[in-house]
Amino acid sequence: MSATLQLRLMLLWGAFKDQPFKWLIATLAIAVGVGLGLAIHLIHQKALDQFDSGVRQFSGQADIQLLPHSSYLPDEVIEQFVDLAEVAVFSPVIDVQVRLAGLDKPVRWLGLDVFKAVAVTPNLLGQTNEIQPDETRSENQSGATAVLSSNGVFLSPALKEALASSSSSPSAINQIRTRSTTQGEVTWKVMGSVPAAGSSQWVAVSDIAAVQWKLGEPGKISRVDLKLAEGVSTDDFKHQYDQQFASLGRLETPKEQGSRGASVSQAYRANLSILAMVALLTGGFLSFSTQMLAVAQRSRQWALLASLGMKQVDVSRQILFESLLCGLVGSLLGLALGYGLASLILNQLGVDLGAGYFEQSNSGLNLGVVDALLYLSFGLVATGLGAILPSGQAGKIALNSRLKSGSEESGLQFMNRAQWMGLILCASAGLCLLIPAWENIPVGGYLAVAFGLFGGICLIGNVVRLTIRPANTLGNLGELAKSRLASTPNLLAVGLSGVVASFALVVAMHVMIFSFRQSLDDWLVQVLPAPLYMRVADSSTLPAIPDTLQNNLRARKEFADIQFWGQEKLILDGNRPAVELVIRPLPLDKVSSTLPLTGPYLSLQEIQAAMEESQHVLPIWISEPLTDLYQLKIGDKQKLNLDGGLKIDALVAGVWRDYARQHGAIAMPQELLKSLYNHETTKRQASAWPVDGVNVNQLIQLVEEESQKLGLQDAFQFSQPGEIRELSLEIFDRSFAVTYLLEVAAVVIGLFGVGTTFSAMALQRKREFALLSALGAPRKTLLKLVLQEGLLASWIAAIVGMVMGLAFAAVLIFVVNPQSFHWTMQWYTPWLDLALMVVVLLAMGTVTVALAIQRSAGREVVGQLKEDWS
Amino acid sequence: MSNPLLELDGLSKSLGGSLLFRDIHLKVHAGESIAILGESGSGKSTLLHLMAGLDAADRGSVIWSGSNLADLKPDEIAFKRLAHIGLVFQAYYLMPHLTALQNIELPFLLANKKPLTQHCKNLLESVGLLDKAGRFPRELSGGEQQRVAIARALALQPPLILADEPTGNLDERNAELVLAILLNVCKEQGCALVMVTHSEKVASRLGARFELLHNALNSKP
Repeated sequence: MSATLQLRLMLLWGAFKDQPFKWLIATLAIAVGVGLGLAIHLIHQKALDQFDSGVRQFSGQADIQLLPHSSYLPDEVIEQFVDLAEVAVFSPVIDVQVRLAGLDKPVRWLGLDVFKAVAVTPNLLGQTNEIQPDETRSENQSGATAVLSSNGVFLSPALKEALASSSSSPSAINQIRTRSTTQGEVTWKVMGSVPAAGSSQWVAVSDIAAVQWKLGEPGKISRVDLKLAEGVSTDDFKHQYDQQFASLGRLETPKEQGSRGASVSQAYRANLSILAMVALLTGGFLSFSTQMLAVAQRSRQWALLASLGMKQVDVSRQILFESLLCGLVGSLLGLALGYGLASLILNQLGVDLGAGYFEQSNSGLNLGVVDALLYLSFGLVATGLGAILPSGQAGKIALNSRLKSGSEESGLQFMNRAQWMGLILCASAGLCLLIPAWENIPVGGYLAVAFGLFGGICLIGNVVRLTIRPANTLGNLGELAKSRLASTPNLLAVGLSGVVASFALVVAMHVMIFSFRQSLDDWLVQVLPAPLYMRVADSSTLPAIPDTLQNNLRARKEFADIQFWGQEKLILDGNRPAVELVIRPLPLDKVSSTLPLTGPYLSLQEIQAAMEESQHVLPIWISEPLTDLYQLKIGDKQKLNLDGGLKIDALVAGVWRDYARQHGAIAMPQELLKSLYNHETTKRQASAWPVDGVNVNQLIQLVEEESQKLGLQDAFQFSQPGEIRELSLEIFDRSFAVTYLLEVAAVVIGLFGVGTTFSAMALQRKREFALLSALGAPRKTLLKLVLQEGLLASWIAAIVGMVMGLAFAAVLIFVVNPQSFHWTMQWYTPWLDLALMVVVLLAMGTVTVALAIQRSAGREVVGQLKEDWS
Repeated sequence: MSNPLLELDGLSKSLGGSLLFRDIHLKVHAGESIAILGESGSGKSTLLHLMAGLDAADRGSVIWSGSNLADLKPDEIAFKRLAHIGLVFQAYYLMPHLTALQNIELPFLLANKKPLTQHCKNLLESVGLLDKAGRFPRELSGGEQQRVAIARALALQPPLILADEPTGNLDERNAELVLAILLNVCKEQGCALVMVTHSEKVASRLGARFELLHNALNSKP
């Protein structure tokens, strides 16, 4: 070991021994930040890999696919490919969700034309005997591929396993039954397996005609997989034929679908990652606070080393060395923590962290070297940044050879100028709010929070100077405590920086989540006006609420009103997920009381005038995301391509708040769509109002009676607003489970920070307490004094942190959320929770200080008095 | 005759395995001034700390006006010290964040009493620093800081002042000034004074002299 390294380690060991807990907490904070960030990254990477592999698996070797605008393509579209020289093979596919008895989630049922599919998606063809997945791709094995019969089905291994475990005789899964309104109960013979299907996926494959016929979708297909002729590029093909197929659907490559999959959760992922960075930032601040206090306390050590011949730059390097070593240990711990946490979360919440974006996977995680190094570097950068100022300061102290003069506070005199930096940073934070979002990531909002955080912390010293004025004469112990704090504003500012940072961020996150939850609750009350809601329980067996049932229910006098509606998916932009088209009863004169409109909207007269001007104009009301994602605004005209080549001239008449569909929704009046375009949607949902004297349960009974008359058993699910609200809030809480986890992590780090910072500040004053003790102060008086100081310091931390936190919450609510998720929310202040947080902070601040000095106060007075006194 | 303000009865103390002194007996009565002489490392400061109840003896008793410290809890000793003893240290030990006046007011707060500001100002005047009442310790010279420390020791009007090399950090002129002031205010206030010093010259200004030599305290003519 070189002499330099030996010296560095010796000095580090001394510093560590002096305040082990503070170092441990700073290291732990870095570990938590790195760990959380890595866990979120690993989980999301896993989700995207899974999504990509799903797309690859179900697209096979297709170069490009023709996909419907909404749900289905007409059968006839196939004929258009027959004469296209650029297309080598076209393979029509029907892809439906089917519920099977005994399974808690639907099965993905693919209908394939086996003679076409063998060239495009051979991996999806069933095997009658058990062979290895890799072998299915071998041409030599193609003879083993079974010709699909009209009642045969091939099941993925996972589906077979699920069916076996749900059946009373697991070994006898030879046939399965489906049910549809057109064909009734259909028995399918299990011919073999689809070994190439993903390990956890429930997939069934059968002949395309059989699926159309027996699962009730005749004449419709879900997509056409195209394998292009040799030498034809997908771009050229797309460019040439996009318009030709535009009325029916859109041409898209599997890669484009993959990127759309990533965009589904991009904002959610980005926000969680930022929250993890917040934990890392807090760790950086704690590291800064630890080092800055240590530098001030060790000022004589630096001066002594300098007088013995150590260069100023070496003194600075020592601080950097100590910080980076702390960062390295924290980051390594963080890597282990992140990997463990990711594995745990994957098992408990799934790859979408409970948000419901992706299906669950149980397969293992891979931590790549690049990822490991990247997150390791994040930890090192955080601690390195936290050490820049302290290391520079240590160098200056050494230069000035402060062997005897001055105190810790005098070592921090340079911070008297921090106010200007604070003001500049706060002003920069304000300017950052003007920066628009980049790829749904609210760069400006996050920069504003970061600048605001640094700026606010630079101003803590000024807050101390403004709020704590020492008295000319001392009237009581409280004034003594005030005098002490007022004399060390910079030391206090440094000590409180980590605490203020974590408290501010916790307050901001909590206010944002609380506001979001309250807004969601308000919204649910507004969008669920009916006492009863019903929906088709399984659209694979009952595609829609039958017209006869609708008419029969409308005729019953027990219903004051009953409305039926449907939803369709609509792709407005191939690079974005589909938006939901909600086709519902929407009387033009009652839109404002039916939809939760935000901002201005077109009046009835304006809509009528537009409709008179152009006979086919259909007013629509778009949800908030469409204004951001598609730049639509009130008064805009938009062409909407529905299935079957139907083009609708839509007029944007208003904007409504919709928390249910993040990627956007369009509310369209059912009656006008029928009268103007003769389009009737598939109605799968209804809302009902009883007449006076009839209750909701009687309505449910009535619906079931009328359903049974048509031979429908348990065909509908019923829910009441209270249940939907409860379920929605439960989903909300689950979605924010990771956010809560991060919040708890920040609170824990922050509170540990409070404890260690305050106790370190108290311990550094042991000589002072020794003097007070020598003068005659009993331990009780010392404790009382320290408690008052701790309370006052915590109060400053709470006030500054609260003000900063509320400002950051405003940025999160009014800038970050609208830019990330494209919906707005109202501000709600959780006063009770905030008061509780302040109380906890005050309690932690005072109790930890008291505990820290309790052990030493009044003891070893002589020894402590003999220590150097300045 | 009333109880002595301070009585040492058979006091012994070792430090780090080596004996500092043994079987020391001493009585201090009201108004007396006593100097304890000794070389560096002789244990005279430790003896003073034992007198002040800041440290515990290996054997023997320290008795303040009839109260044996061995019978008191640490907090009771501390609180009793406030009223009974004023301490003056070689290194002054002023609170750096308090002004000169506030440093003198400090003992009142520690005793849970409202400071008598006028009384404290009078003390400042008696040590010649009334015009510097608002100065912080860093704005005062060493001699001035020690004068403030003397005033602080007298703030609660204790009957006994214990001073540990009060002039040890000062130049000759300032040392003379501080000593004169200390003796004068003790006389004015009627306080007994026990001073530890290595200086024969300083010791000669006090009424009685003892020397700590060869682990024993002997009276010195």
